[in-house]
Amino acid sequence: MSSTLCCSFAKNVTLRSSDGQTFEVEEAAAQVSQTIKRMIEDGCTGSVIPVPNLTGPVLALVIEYFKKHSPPSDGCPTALLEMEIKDWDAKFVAVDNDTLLDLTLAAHYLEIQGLLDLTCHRVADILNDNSVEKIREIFHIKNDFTPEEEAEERSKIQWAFE
Amino acid sequence: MGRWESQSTGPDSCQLKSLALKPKPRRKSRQTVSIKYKPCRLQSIPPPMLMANELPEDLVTEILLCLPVVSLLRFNCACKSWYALITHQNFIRKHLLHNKNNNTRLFLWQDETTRDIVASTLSYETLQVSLTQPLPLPFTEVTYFVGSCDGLVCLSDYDALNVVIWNPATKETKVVPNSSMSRFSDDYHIMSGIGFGFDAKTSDYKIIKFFSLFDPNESDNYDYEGHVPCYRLSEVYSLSVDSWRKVDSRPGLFDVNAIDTYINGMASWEAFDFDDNWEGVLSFDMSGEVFLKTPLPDDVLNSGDWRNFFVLNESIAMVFSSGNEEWLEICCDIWLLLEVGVKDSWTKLFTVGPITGIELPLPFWQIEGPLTFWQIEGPLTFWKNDAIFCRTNDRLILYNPFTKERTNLPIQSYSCPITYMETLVSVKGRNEF
Repeated sequence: MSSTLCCSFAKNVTLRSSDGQTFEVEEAAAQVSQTIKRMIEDGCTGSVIPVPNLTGPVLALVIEYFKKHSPPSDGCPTALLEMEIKDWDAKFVAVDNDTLLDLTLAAHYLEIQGLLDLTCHRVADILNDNSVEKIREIFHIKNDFTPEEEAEERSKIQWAFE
Repeated sequence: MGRWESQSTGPDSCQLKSLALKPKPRRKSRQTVSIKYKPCRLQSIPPPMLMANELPEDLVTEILLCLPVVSLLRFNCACKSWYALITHQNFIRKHLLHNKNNNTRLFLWQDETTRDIVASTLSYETLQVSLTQPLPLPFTEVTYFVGSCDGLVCLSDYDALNVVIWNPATKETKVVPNSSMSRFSDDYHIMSGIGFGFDAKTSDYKIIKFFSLFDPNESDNYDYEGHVPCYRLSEVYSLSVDSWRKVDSRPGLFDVNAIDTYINGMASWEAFDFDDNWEGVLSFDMSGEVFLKTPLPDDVLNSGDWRNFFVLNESIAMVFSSGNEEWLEICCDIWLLLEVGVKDSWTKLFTVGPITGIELPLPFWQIEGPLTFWQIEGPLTFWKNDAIFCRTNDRLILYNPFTKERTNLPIQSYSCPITYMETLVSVKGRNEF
C-alpha cells in the first residue's frame, strides 16, 4: 500500500537533447545514469537538465533503457524479471552499427555502466566476426599503414588470419 | 600490480566514427575535466568537442578489452593508433586483469592418430576442446608442465634440462638458456625441482630450479633416501635479464612433484623432506627468493591416501582422497591453506563422497607389474567449484559429486590440467607492468 502511495508521488525530471527536444522521465529511472544522478544530487531538478552531447533520437533510446532498468518499486528483482531484462537488452542493441556506436558513446558520456558493458560487448562481437577490411569499413577507420608495413605486420602473425 | 593506473594510457585517440562528444573523464583517470557541473554552467561553456570520426581512447580500450587474443592480433593491422594501443604494456596488463576470472584449463595429451603431443584448452560451457596445437620446439617428446602464470606456460622435459616459456595464445616461445645443472647431468644423479611465477616487485617472470647432486657410485638413481648429496644449489632465471643466477636460499633435500601450483607470487609443490622427514608443501617466494615449508595437517598424514594440489579462492587447496580396498569408492576432503608456511592455517572446507562408479585407476601401490604414469592419479582438481577432474583407466572425466553427473571428456590427458588464461603477455621479457 505504501509503495503505491510512494509511486503516485514519483518525481519527474526533464532532459533536453542537443537539438532541443525535451523528454520527461521519472527521477528514479534517470538516476541509472551516474552523471544525471550527480546533477540531481546537486539540486538541478528544478530546471531542465541539458544533455548537449545526445541528439533527440539517441536520448529517446537511452530513456527507454532508463525505464527498463529503473529499480523496481518493490525492491527485489526476481530471476524471471532478470531473464526478461536480459532478453530485452539483447534486442535493444540489435541495431545498425551507427546507432550502436551512438548508444556506446551515450553510455560513456552519461556513465551508464550496464549500458556501457552491453554496447561494448556488442561492438566487440561485431569486431570479432569480421575481417580487418570489413572493420575499417564499418567503423570508418582510415588505414594509415603503407602496404609494405601492413604486409610485414600480417606476415608476423599469419596464423591469426587463417 | 596496478602500476598502469598511474601511467599514460597509450596513444592518442583512435579513428572511429562517432558523435561529437566530450570524452567523459573516468574515475582515477589522468584527465582533469570534471563533470560535476551545474546545468547553467554547461549551457554557457560548451564542453570541448572531439574531432569528427573519433571515439575517446578509453572507450576504444573498453571495447577492445572484450576481444580474444587472436582477434586483437588481427586488429593490430587496422590502423596505427590501434596497433599502438593494443601493443602497449598498459593495454596488455588491463586485458590480463579483465580476463582474470576467465580461467580455463590447459591439458597435454597425445593425439591417438598422429601420436603428436598437443596442448588443448577445454571450454567450461560446451566441454569442447579448443586451441589444440602442437608444443613449441624443441619439445616433440613427452613434456611436462612446470607451471603457468598470466597466460604464460612453462614446459620442461623429464629431467628439467630443457625449458621453454610459451604463450599458447600468441604462439610466442622463449627457449630458456641452460642452467648450471646441465653441466652435472652426465656425471651425477640429480634430484631436482622447478617452478615458474611472477615477481611483482620487479615486474619479472622467474623460474626457480633447485637440485641436489649424488655420486652415482654411492646411490641408485631415483633412490636417494639415506644418501647424502655431494652438492646442492638453487638458481633463479629472470626473463627480463634472460639469465640464471645462484640464490642463497636452499630448501634441503626434497622430493617434489613436477608441476608447481602458482598463486600470488608463490610457487608451491607437494613435497617430501628427506632431511627432516616431513611431508607437506614446499613454496618459493618469487619476490623474496626464499623457500617456505608447510607440513600437512596431522589428520591427513596417512601414506595410503592420495593428494593433489590446486588453486581455490586465491589460495592453495588440497584434495585429499581416501578409498576402500578396491578403490571403487572414494571420499575426498578439500583443504585450504590460508597462509603459506603456517601449518595451523590448514582449514578443512568440506568432504565430497563417497563417490562410486567412476572406475578410478588403482592407486599405484596396488598395481601389479610395471608402473606407468597413466595409472597413478585420482581426483585431480576442482573446476569452478562444482566438478572434479578424474582420470579413469582410459579417459579423463568430469564428475559433479553434487548431482552425481559424469561427463566423459574427449581427451586422455597424461598430465594434470593446469589453470590457464589467454593473454597478450610477451615471452620476450619486455613486460613493464
